[in-house]
Amino acid sequence: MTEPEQFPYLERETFPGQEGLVPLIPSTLSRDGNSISVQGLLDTGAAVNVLPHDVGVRLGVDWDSQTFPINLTGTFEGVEARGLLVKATVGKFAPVALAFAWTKSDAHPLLLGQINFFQEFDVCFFRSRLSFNVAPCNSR
Amino acid sequence: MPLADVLPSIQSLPKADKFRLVQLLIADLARADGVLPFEPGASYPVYTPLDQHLAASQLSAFLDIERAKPE
Repeated sequence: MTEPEQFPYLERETFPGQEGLVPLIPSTLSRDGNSISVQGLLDTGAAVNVLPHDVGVRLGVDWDSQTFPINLTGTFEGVEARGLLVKATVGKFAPVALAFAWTKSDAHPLLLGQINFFQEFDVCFFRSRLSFNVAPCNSR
Repeated sequence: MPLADVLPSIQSLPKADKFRLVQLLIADLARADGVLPFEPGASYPVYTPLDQHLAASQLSAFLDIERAKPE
């Protein structure tokens, strides 16, 4: 069984101070030999992982090479999104494949949601301690 | 960097990114003045794609297809 790894709540650039502390998890995304460091917001209410456009571009992905449509609504109404698979390394854990709704917008943060981040990792939040624990689901 | 240098880049941004830039600038000014990030009566974006059943099923299908491909 893999021991959980603890991460601190971090400040969002737009909301400094205690009020702006959120569960941002540092990770490395890789695809086709390109790797970048990112921070993803753990969003338990998000049905899907959502990737801002510029992150996919920084990974060297050509928008037109991705053709699988993902239909987002609500706050993402009118924002075009396509499926994108990347390898993600979180903490000391083995890399996992994460599927993202890769959008044509940079107006949102990188969101880690139910499909499929929370299918890959168990997370326990300790807001009062400003930390959260993460462990791969397959470590049970 | 002079404003004139960055203005053409800003003007070519998509509408959503312009809104985002305005938010960042306002937050930056507020931070400099020691203003709290949340103001009464103000509205803030909620990004969470909640209840997106179609997107969830599409992304699951996409994941299955990608995982079935040879490495």
